[in-house]
Amino acid sequence: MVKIPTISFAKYFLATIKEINKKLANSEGLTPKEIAELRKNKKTLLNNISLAAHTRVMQATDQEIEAERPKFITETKAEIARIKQKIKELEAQINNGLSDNEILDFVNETENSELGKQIGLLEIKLAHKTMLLELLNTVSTEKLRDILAEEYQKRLYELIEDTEIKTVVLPRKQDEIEHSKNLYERVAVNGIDPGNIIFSAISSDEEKRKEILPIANRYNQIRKEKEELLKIKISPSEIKELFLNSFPFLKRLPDEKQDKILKQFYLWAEIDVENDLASEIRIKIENFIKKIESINKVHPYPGWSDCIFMNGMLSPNLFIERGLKPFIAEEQFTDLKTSFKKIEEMKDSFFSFLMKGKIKRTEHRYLKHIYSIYQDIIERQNRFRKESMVEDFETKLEGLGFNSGDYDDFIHYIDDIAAIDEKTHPLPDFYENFCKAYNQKSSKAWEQIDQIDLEIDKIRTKISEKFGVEISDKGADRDTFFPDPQNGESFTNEDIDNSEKAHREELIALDIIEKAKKQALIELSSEETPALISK
Amino acid sequence: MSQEELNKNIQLFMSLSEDDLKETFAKMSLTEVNDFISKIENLERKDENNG
Repeated sequence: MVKIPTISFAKYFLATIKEINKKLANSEGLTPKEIAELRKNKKTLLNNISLAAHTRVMQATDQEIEAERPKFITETKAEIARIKQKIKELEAQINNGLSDNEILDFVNETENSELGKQIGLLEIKLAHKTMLLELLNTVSTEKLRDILAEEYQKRLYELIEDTEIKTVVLPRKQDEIEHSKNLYERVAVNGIDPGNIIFSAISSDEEKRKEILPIANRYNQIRKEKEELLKIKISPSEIKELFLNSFPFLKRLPDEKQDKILKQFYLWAEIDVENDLASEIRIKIENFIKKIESINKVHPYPGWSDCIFMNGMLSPNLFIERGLKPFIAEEQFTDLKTSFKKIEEMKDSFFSFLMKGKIKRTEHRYLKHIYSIYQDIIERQNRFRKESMVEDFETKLEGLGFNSGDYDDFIHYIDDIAAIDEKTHPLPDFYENFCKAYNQKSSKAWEQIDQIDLEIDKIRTKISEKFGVEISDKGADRDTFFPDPQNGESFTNEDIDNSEKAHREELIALDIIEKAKKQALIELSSEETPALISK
Repeated sequence: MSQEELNKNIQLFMSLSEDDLKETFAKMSLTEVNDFISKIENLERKDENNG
């Protein structure tokens, strides 16, 4: 061990800190690495002293502790006066002799934000010292010991914190308050951001800074690929195919009509088919089905929402023109055609009433009328199927001059529609098919993601071996080795500096939060059961 | 203090183990410890004001 006499120790230690401060104040000739090294050394020296002072206090006799009480009170009073005076001086600097415009200019200057920040910090210190003074007059010897130990650490810790903050370009006061607020909230909730750990750990080593950038850039590239893979999309044409498979009768309609029906469906289900991710569309279809089901449950006309929805899906004009006309009287046909036209015209507004679950009294009568027509159509369809009138229908169609190519398709079309009424609704079927397609795409994407994760794991091992930084191998942490590059593309030295600063700020915030928690616990136990805090 | 002397001093203080420091502090009275911390604080304040 190196033996240093106590007096010499203090003297040399102070001289060393003074010299480090001098160097940091005139750092123009120093490299970033040298500055970082000096800061780190100073922090370590102050930390060591802080620990030693704490131990000394904890080992002191009760008499020694009590002897400190009056001195501590006097010092705290002097400190309070000093802080008050300092706040006064700083406020005077801002207000004295400046015109309104000058104050405005001054407010926008960095110097002023520095003053604003200093005032804010001093106000916090003042509140702490005032509270401390109250405690010093009343607490037991053991509690005083705790306070003394804590206070020595805190005083030195503040110096470390000041050293760190001085190297940061200070934003304006309001921004600074906002920044601090966000920082503390973030750290209290999420803890330390793992994305800054690697850059922060190597920031003071020029060689490592050079070596880490290509590794970080490769990581960023594959992480972006992974993000893209996670954004699983099903294209509009794929969705259309799935939809037509669930509503096969629509396949018999021209493309233009199919697209119109799909557009209507997207509108009702609030689907943005071009931009929504597959996972979002899946939820929207699910919600849409739930809505239809809930309407069916509460609406006085069972199946009405299905009726409206299906009328959007089907082609009523085609249906009545070519499907029903041969079987009904001219007058009835005109009546049905008018009603269907109204359904066609009003289906959007009807549907929106139904969705809201609100229908005006005057609309009820009309709805009832249309509903009875709907029932009539369904009934006719069923009878048409049940009575095996297909052959008769064909004969009549031929009699009406339709050629066989038309009616073959048409018969299937009608057949499909009639089958729907007997089977389940095609929408859940579409939902199921959509989910299958989604899961299929998802599995393929995850095969590629697994490959990327393997490469990410190799990067993790490389970082551990080359730079000595251990990173968690938990799945979710694979996406947070580094932050997002500032320029959006590749990392630069500026990213390393920013990461280092952010990490440092977070560590300070975390430490303050931990200390505040500890202090709150001590105070709580002191209030409830004083015996708990005695050693 | 030259750069060399500074480096030497930093190295010296950094080389002290926790026990070394505890031993040094054990020889100080609490008043001396307090004075020592106050001096470090004053040093920072002085540098701050000069800066």
